[in-house]
Amino acid sequence: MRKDAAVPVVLIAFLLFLILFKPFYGWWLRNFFAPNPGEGVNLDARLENEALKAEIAKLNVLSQNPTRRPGYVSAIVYSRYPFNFKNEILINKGKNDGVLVGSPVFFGAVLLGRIEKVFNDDALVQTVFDDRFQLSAGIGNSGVKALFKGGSLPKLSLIPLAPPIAEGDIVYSVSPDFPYGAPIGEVRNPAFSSDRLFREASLRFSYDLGEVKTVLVKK
Amino acid sequence: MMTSRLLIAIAILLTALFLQIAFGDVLNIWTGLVLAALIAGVFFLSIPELICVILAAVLILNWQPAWSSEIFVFSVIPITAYFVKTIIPFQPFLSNLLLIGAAVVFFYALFDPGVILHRFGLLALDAGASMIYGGAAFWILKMQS
Repeated sequence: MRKDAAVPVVLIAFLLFLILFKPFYGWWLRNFFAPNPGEGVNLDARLENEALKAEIAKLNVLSQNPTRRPGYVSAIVYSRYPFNFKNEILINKGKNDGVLVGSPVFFGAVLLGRIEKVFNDDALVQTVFDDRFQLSAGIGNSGVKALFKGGSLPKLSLIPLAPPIAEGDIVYSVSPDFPYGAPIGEVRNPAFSSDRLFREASLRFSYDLGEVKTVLVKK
Repeated sequence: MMTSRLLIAIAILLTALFLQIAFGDVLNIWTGLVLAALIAGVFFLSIPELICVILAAVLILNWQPAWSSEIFVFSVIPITAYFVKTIIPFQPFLSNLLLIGAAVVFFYALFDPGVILHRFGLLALDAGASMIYGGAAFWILKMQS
């Protein structure tokens, strides 16, 4: 082997070893590159505010106060899908920790997504910012139903014309796949749909996905 | 000479990784800066060096403990560009820009063709940013060689 080819060949062997057997180092490096936009700056307060709003809306919709389900496991976000086609994050809890495909994932009390794929010690989360994510949602104290459609700019559609909704109303899950009343975000820019048979709206979130470093997974 | 060229290529790659991840995390818009850096490297690096920087990019960009079709295609594009560059009848700098633009469009066409029709702005932004970064990377590598 020529001397000047030795360096890249050794590096190739080393990198292949890391990719195949120690991918954790890649995720560590990836987090080293990632900024921490506004981490900790009022984030807890914003999440708490959203959870309280959802709780109030839930109490208005339900005749009884539903108890929060036990059995959540805390997980650290390792990595994030690096292209525009999906929106997924990798967390450090998997099959060995009792995580199942389809389990809801929360950031604080706010619904962040669902488990899409489970590995032995890790799991892949499809977030609410993924184009493929959708669920039945309730809006505000009236509990009017809508279809939540994920994406880089998530939307609410098929909102009936009555009762009215307003900017800032809390949006929460009413899907059987997720805990009832789990907050998602707040209504933003409500408007009529193009056929004027329904209303639609975009959403405001109390966090940026880049801020999400730890999540809760329902076991 | 070869080692310093490889070090510069790695520095360009790490800068692209930082910018791509920072923009992605903050703005939720992912650009193809890393792919652009790899394609620019195609014109100056040997095959072992190119594979080396591709694997470094894969190590950091691969977001799950499993192989994925996106990462596979991402890895194959620069290697394909290495062989295709010789049949493009333009100057290397223009060939570099053309290959970067084609690679970005090909990536979207393969994994989310709806973007080309419905979110053309995103595609244009990605291709534009990638071509600017790839052009700059090309000149830095050219100055060194």
